Amino acid sequence: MQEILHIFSKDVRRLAAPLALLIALQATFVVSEWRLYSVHPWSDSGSLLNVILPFTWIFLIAALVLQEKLPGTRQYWLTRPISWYKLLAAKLLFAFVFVNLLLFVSDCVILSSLHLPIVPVDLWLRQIPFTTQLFLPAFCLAALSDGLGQFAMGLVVAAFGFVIVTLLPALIWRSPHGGEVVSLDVARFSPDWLFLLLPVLVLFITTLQFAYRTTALSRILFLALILWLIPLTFWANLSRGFLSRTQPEKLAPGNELPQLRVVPDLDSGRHPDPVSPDGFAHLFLPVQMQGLPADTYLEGNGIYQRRQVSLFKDQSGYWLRFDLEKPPNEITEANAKIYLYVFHEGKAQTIRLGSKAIFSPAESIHCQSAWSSGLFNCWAGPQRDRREYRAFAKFDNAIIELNDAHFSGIFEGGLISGLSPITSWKLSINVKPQYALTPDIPVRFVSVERSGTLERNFEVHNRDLSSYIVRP
Amino acid sequence: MTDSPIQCSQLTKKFRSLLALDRLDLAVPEGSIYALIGPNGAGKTTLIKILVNILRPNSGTSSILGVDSRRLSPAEFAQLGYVSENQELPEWMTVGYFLKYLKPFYSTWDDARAAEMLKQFNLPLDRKLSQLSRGMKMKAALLSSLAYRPKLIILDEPFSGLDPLVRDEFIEGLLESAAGATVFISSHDLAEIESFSSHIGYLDNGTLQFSEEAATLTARFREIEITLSEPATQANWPASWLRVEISPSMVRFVETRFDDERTGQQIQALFPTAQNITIKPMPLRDIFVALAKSSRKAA
Repeated sequence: MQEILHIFSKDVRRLAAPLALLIALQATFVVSEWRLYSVHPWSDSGSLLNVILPFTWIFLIAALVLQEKLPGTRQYWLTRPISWYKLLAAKLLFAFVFVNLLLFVSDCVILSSLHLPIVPVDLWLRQIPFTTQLFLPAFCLAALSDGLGQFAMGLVVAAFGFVIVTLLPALIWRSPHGGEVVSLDVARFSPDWLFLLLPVLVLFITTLQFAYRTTALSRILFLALILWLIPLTFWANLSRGFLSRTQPEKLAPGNELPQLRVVPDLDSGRHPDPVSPDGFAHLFLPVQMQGLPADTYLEGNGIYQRRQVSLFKDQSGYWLRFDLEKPPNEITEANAKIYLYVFHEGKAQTIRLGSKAIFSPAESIHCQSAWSSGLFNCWAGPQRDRREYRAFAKFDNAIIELNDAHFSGIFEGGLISGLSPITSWKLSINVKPQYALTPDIPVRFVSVERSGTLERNFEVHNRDLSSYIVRP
Repeated sequence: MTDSPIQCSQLTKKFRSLLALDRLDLAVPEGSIYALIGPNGAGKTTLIKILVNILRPNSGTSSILGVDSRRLSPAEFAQLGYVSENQELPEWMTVGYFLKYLKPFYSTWDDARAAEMLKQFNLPLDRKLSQLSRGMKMKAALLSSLAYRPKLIILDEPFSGLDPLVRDEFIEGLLESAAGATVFISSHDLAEIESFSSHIGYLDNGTLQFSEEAATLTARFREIEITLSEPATQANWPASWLRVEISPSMVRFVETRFDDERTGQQIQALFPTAQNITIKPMPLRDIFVALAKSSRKAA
């Protein structure tokens, strides 16, 4: 251990300047995140530091490994009594302390400054994706490079490979629902084993390179790994639905919703609650859902005349919402095309507070609750489109829906946005104290049962809709 | 493997189609100062890098301190001092930090010896290695490789590019610290090597042409010049004669197996009209040149 710490302290001394820069950037990031979330708690961090910091980490790791570069025959340390595993351990320790631990600390600082609870396990889990998918491959690439230039070139090649993996399928794949392809989300759709495969193989190659310095062989293996992963990722994702889908344009076979009807409910006396101004005017029309089976949950949204229309439910019933760029003076004829998703309640599973996470294989959802914090967390595996499922925590007298925000879990948002430490608090919902004392919480996972489109004309003549319009 | 600190058996190394070492057998006696000489591209550096497990052979085996080179562990490296002309040192370190960094890796590190060599080499502790001249850098490398009193010291072209003064200091430091150790050195600086090496090996085209004690080697090489009264006609010279030059009145050659009586008889038999015979001992440099040129001619 002494030798490991000795090498570690040497690296700290050598990389003092980049470390100071990294810590300064990290501190800036903490301050900017705190300022953002203290004002807009549900915002997504759009800080440029979200991009700069990962690159700083990657190049710090590369510089660290290249202190004792492995390719080549002229390095002084090759003939010194330095064990390869101690050298590797020292490098990993450095990366852990100045990347993972630093990130953990900054997460804690942000959360505590926002008076949010800190769940260390969650914060560490949050680091798994980019540690396994970013840091370890970068560490391996550095171990195969004979300089920062070669490392940077390797990064460019890897980025090119990633672009192929992510963009090419968009050209050849169409949703089975007929929807247009809009985006790619490898992280969400790739199966768990694919994400485990990369770090495991990368660690193997790194260990091989440190132990034997078989650079040519290690490079071939690394290249083979990348070349192999590309078609494998294609296959794995194409077979599961590679891309996030927009709303289906036509009904998939068996997904018709003939019994479902949406009718205006303007005479019910319901009126929208004020919403926070966002620069748009919103028309909220109360509607009734007829023909909706029992124990189902409905969600819908769609497009009408380039205006976003959405269907949502609050405690008083369903609402049809139009987002208007400017308040219209003309008569409004709403011909809403709504894309509907009907969810059916699944089998209840029980979560014991404070126990290990439970896993619902059917939905690939993990849930865990902790006595200490009173927090209830769920996170989804990467292979499902989140629009295809919902989860509810069903208590004695209340149901808490774990909506999208609660699923922005550790695999959500790809690699870069996953680095934003604040996302962790979206994972949590506060369980009321009386429920926190309950040892078991039944959880029902629901999956999409049917989805399709529904067209309905809403004719509203001689009606004053001003009370349904919320202006900024 | 025997007790020889360096031993090779049928060692072969290829770089694609280039045969760098060809079934090389070598045994370096313990306690010797073994000089490995040979022309550029002979395979000296390749051999050394295989010995210290920087390169891997295609076939054959080599061992250092009784351990297969491919299985050298920190325990063996702690007894090995290695300095190479083109070694990459951590240039950002000061001399003092370089030594401080290396010290914990060696249980036999001798502070007193290090301080003594620092003084002897006049090395500034607070100067970065990148700011040192080539000679000073080599001295720092040597110091860092001798301060723990290694049992085996391997030097790969350590004198290249050093001025005579630095070279003398380097050798002086080496000999003082290497007492009792085995030194294996490859060099082109034959005049320097001749002054302190006990054994010499000659490597050419990946093949070890000879490996023997320096005294024996210099004793068996002679430059012989014969003045003739009649032009010589003999064409089949003995195999031990190299670089035979003939003019109408003179024959000059290098005898590689000189023996006073036997060589005299051969000359008498081949040149009965010899008027004058001059036999001169050869410095190592001339031996090397003779071997290299005859080898090139044969090739």
